[in-house]
Amino acid sequence: MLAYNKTALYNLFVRNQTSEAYEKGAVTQEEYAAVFLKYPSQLYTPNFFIGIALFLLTLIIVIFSIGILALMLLGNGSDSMITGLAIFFSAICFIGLEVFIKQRNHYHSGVDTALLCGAVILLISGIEYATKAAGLQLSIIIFIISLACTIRYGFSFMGVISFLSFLSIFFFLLSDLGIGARAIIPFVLMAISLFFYFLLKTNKNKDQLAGYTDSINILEITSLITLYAAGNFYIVKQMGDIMFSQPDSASSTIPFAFLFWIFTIVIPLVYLFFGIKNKDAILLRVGLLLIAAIIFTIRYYHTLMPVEAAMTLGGIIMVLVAWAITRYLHVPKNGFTSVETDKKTAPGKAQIEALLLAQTFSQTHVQNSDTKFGGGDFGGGGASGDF
Amino acid sequence: MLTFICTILVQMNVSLLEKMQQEGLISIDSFDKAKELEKNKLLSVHWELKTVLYLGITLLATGLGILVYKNIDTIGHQFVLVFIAIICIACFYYCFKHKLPFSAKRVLSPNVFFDYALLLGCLTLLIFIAYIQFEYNVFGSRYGLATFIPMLVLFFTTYYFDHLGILSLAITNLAAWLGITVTPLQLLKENDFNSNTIIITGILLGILLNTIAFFSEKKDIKKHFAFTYLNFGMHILFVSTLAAMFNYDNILILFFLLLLVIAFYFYKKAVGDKSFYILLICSLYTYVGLSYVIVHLLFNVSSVGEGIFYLTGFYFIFSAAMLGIFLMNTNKKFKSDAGI
Repeated sequence: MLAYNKTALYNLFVRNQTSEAYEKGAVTQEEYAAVFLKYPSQLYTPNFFIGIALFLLTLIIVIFSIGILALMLLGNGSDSMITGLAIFFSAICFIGLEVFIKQRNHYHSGVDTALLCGAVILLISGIEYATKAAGLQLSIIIFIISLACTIRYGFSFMGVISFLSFLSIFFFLLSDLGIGARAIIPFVLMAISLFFYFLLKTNKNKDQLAGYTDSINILEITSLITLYAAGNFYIVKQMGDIMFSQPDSASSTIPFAFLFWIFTIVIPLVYLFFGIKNKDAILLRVGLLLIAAIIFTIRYYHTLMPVEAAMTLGGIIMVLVAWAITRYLHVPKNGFTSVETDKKTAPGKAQIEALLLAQTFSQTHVQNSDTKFGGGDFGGGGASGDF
Repeated sequence: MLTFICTILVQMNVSLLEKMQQEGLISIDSFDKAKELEKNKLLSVHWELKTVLYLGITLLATGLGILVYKNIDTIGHQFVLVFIAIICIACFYYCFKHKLPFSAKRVLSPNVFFDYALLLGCLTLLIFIAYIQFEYNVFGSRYGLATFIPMLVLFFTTYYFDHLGILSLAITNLAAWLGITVTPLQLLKENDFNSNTIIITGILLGILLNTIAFFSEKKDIKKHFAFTYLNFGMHILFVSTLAAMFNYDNILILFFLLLLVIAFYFYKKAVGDKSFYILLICSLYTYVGLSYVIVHLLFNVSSVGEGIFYLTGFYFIFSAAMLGIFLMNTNKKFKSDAGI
């Protein structure tokens, strides 16, 4: 089970919940202080930015250590030597990881994140190099390793990897079974995602899962997205073309096409509906995100108007909708508000927003002698994920 | 990033608070309050609205730009221009109507829509200015003027309406007027850091922006803008100085000293503001500079043959560990109550 000290993790969980209640004004400062005194946690998690730096620095150390060792040992570079070196170093990373966790109480500090990344990448590539595994075998290897790491270290990215590799095991299993089995792949993947979503949702608040709160939230989002992706017309068709296409049968449609069109359009709306009804932030946000996927999927197959007209019209509609909602929520209604409630992270988010705007809308390209038209380019999206 | 998402998703766990209450750590009143809050919980759609507005305006501005461009010589383009003018006027009308009175201190925006209406107004105004230049060539071949006027408009709007996003647009425009691209993702890609003018301009612009940041904090003129100035200024200054180091081998040491001075300034700033972000950026750039000098020296001075690779490897392992320890200690020093 978890490598981290269980009591410390539980105490951290209690502390986080209490500070949440304190921020919302339910708990007084004395009570807050009393809880913190009763539930001490010596886990070391530095500030977010320091964590980034520690992550990068640990990676540097790992990479240069491998470099030096490789320089010494790989003079004649045999294959078994490379595999041996990778697995040996993976073991060293795992040992380092355990030492930092047990001795130094590091908890998702950047150091343990980097060591785990190094260990897993080295282990998987070492095995892959030796066995030349692909497809089903590779998925199984990745699934076993990442599942073990998720359970032991509670990192959400490991959870996501193990969930995706779990899905891909079913994908490869069924695709090896013949044409009939291939047709039901999307439905199987959707069923697994749905099952997994409800499994997480119902077990989310159990005390025993205190160390996995982050992973569960992220996996909830992932399973909602894979549920949609497995039923999206574009993805089903592209996957079918890439994986199973025969040169002579360039089909323009897929089995159950109308069903996939229904999934493409209805699933995001269902998410939105339940997101609003249950005030579920995850469903609401994923639903909004997937509205964009509906639009892109439809536009890919059916062109209703030229792209610039569609953009202008779409833009106007979005601005008007936002205006209407802002007016409607002028005072909070039905449990929704348009005001920022999270005061703690607000200044940071405002700065990121400003950078994103500068990235998207500054159309002044230097040294261009022609005055350029066009309100910025689309390149800005990348910056949004970096925080 | 994950921590950010998760902080949004944290919800109060009523059963846990009940346990705290039974343990006597929390009074019945507080527990009831928490239960009440959880029952009538308020979900903020603030960032959802912002995202929709951001995407809508991106689409609108891009679409309109292409529409004008494609129809430039037909009768249709005048219709498009009138349309743009209407949007622009409507946006500014909305903003003037809803804005709170001007103050040198921070003025909060009245609602989410306001910020983006102002942004749309500015963008359509810029499209208009660009059109006038294209069609009637008002600024002639003085292209400087064609970026200078929008810059003035943007800076004026920034201060008059208090808008952080437009400030960052104004800063990128200022840099463009001076001949540098400072858009975050293009800073390294689009500038030719082999050119002397770019390097020197970059260093001077960085100093200028940091001076503005310094005075806006000191004189309390829109204090909350200081970080944006500082952020742009810091990156330009470090990148230009590093570029100078890579380019001028013979006076490398001079620019290295400059880098150390800059690093010292920002370290002091990071400690003063308890800013982990400034500390991170400052230490990473300085580490790159220091490593460059050391590797440069190793490869120029030594004649040990293959041993040079081992030395370099050991240097990186050792220095990365040292920097890590330094950062962890500083983290302990700042601790809690820090901003960004």
